[in-house]
Amino acid sequence: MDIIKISIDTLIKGIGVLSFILILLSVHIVIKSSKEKAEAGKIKAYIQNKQDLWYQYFNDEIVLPVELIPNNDIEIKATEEIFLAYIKNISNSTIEEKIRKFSNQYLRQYYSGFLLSRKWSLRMNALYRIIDFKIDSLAPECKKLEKRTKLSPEEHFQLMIIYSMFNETDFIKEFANLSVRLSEYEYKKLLVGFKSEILEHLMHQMKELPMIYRHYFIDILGIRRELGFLPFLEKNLSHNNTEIRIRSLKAINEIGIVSNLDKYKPFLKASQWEERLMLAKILGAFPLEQVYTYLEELLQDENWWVRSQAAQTIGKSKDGKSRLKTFIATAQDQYAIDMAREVLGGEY
Amino acid sequence: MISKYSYGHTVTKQIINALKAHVVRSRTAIAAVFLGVYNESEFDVERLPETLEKITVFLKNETRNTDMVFSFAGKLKWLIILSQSGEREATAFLRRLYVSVKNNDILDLENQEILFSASVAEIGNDEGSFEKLVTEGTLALTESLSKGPEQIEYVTTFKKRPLETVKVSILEENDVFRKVLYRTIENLNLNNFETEIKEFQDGYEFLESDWYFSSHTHLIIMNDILPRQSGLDVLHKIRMLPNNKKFIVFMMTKRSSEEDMIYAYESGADNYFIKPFNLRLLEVEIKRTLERLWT
Repeated sequence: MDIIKISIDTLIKGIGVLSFILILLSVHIVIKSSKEKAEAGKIKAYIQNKQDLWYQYFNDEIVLPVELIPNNDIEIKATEEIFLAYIKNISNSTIEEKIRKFSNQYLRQYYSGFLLSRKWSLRMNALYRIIDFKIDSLAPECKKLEKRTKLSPEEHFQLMIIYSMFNETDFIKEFANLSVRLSEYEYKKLLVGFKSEILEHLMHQMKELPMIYRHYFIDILGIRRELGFLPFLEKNLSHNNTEIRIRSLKAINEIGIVSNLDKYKPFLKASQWEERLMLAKILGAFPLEQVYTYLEELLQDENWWVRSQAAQTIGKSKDGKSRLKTFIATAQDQYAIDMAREVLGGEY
Repeated sequence: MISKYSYGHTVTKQIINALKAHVVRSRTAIAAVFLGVYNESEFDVERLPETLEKITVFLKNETRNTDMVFSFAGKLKWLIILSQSGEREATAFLRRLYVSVKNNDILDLENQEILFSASVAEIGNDEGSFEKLVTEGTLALTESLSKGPEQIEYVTTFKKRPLETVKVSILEENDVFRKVLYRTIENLNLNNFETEIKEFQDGYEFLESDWYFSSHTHLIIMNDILPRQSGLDVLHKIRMLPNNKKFIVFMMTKRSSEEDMIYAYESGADNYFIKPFNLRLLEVEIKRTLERLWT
C-alpha cells in the first residue's frame, strides 16, 4: 500500500489554511445572517409603522401621504409585503387600482432593474410582481427580455400571463401560434385566468390551434362553466374528430344545461363507447320518464362503463330505483341485470 | 291562554316579569298589546260582564297557545302578551283581529258591531317596571282610542335591546391582513352589540389561551391553514366543547375547492370565504349573523 508522504509542517500549514478559510466562511455566514436578520427587523418595523397609513389610504380616508413613498430597498420590500397582503387576501378594485398606479410610479424602476439581472430568481420575482401589481408600464421591457436573454419555460409562462393582461390583441395572435410547448397544466392554468373576451377570440381561431390545445380549450369551457359557449360546444357535437366530440359532451355535462334532447340522441349509436358513456351522464339532466328508453338501451350496452353509468343515472333519478327493480324482474340481459343490482346495492 | 288574573293583579306582574327576564336570555322580544273597544259606550252596561267574557274567549281563539290574554276587571280592555313577537308581528296580529272581529258569527253579540283600537309595546330588555309598562301602554291606548277605531299607537320605551358583548377572534398568520381584519371589525357599526377583539397568529396560540372559555357569543374568523395548529383543528376542537353553540365560525381559505367547502361546512363552519374576498361581504355577513341572534 502506498503511503502519501506529507511532512508535518505541510500538514499543519494545510490545516491552518483550511481553518482560516473555515473561519472566514463562518464569519461570512454570521455577518450575512445577522444582516438578513437586521433587514427583516427593519422591514417588520417599517410595516408596523406604515400599515395604518396604507389602510387609511386604501379606504379613502386620506390622500396618499408622501411618507408612504419608499426611499430605499428595505422600504420597497416592506411596501411589497403590504401590497401582497392586500392583493392575495382582499378583492377590491379600488385598492387594486391604487396599487397599480403607485407601483407604476414608484416601484417601476426597482423591478425594471430586476428584469435586467442575470439572476433567474430576480427576473422571476420581477415578473411575479409585475403580474401581482399590474405594472403595465413595464410591458415593453418584458417584451425586450424575450429577445435579450435565453428564457426558462417558467419565465415564458409568466410572460404569457403578462401579455394576456396588458396587450390582448398581440397576445391572442401569439397564443394561437405558440412557439413554446406548454404542458397541459400550464395551458389550462392560463386559460382559467383569462377574461371571457380572450376565450371568445380563441374560439374564433380554433382552427389555427394545434389539436391538443383545442382539447384543453374545450375542457376549460366546462371547468369554467362557460354558459355563453354552449352553442359552440353543441356545434362541436357533429365534429369529425372523436376527441373533440367527447370533450364537448363532457364540457356540456359540466355546465349542466342540456335543453334539446334531439341533439344528443345520435350518440346512442356512437361507435366510441366514451361518447355513449357521456350520453348516459347527460341524460341525467332530463326527467327519467322522457329518457328512460334510451337509458335502458345504454344499460344493455356492450361496454361495462356505459352500462354502469346508465344504471347510476337511472338510480339517481326520482323513481329510478323502482324502475331498476322492474327492469331486473323483466329483462333478459344478465350483464345489465347485474349492473342494475349493483346500483341498488343491498336493497335488492 | 286566558289568564284568570286581571292585568292589575300581582300574579300578572310576576308572570310578565318572568317573561321579560326570558327576553334577554333567549334573545327573543315579546310584544304587549293593550286592546280597547272604541265604541264601548254603545254597549249595554248591564250586560258588560257577559260581553267582556265573550270578547275574551274570542281573543283567546285569535291568539296562539304561547300568547296570554289578561282581561281588565269591569272594563272592555285587555292586555295581550304575544311571545316571540315584535312591533311588526303585533301590528300584523292586530290587522287580522280588526278584520275577523267584524264577523259577528264569531262573536255572537246580536249584531252589535265591535270596533277595536290598540297600543303596542315591544319589550326587548328586562329593564323598566311592570307598572311603567301598564301606565305607558294604557296611556297610549287612550290616545289610540281617542283617534278613532282600528288605530294602533306604539310605545317605544321598552324596545331597546340590551347591549351585548361579542368576542371576536382573528386567527391569521399574515400580520398585515390580520390588522386589516381587526380594523374592519373594529369599525363595524353594530346595533346592540359591542365587540372585544383579539388576534392570534395560529391555532395553537388560540387554543392555549383562556379567551374562549367565557359564555359570550364568540365569532371566530380564521384561515384554514395556520402554523402549528390549523383552522380545521381549531374548528374540530371547539365543536367538541359542550357549549359549542356560542361559537360562530367563519373560515377563510385560498383553495377554491367545492370539496373543501363541503368538508368545512360539515365540520361545523358557519361561513366560508375564498381569498381574495371583498371585505364588504365579510362586514355584511357579520352584521347579518349577529342580527339574526335576535328573533
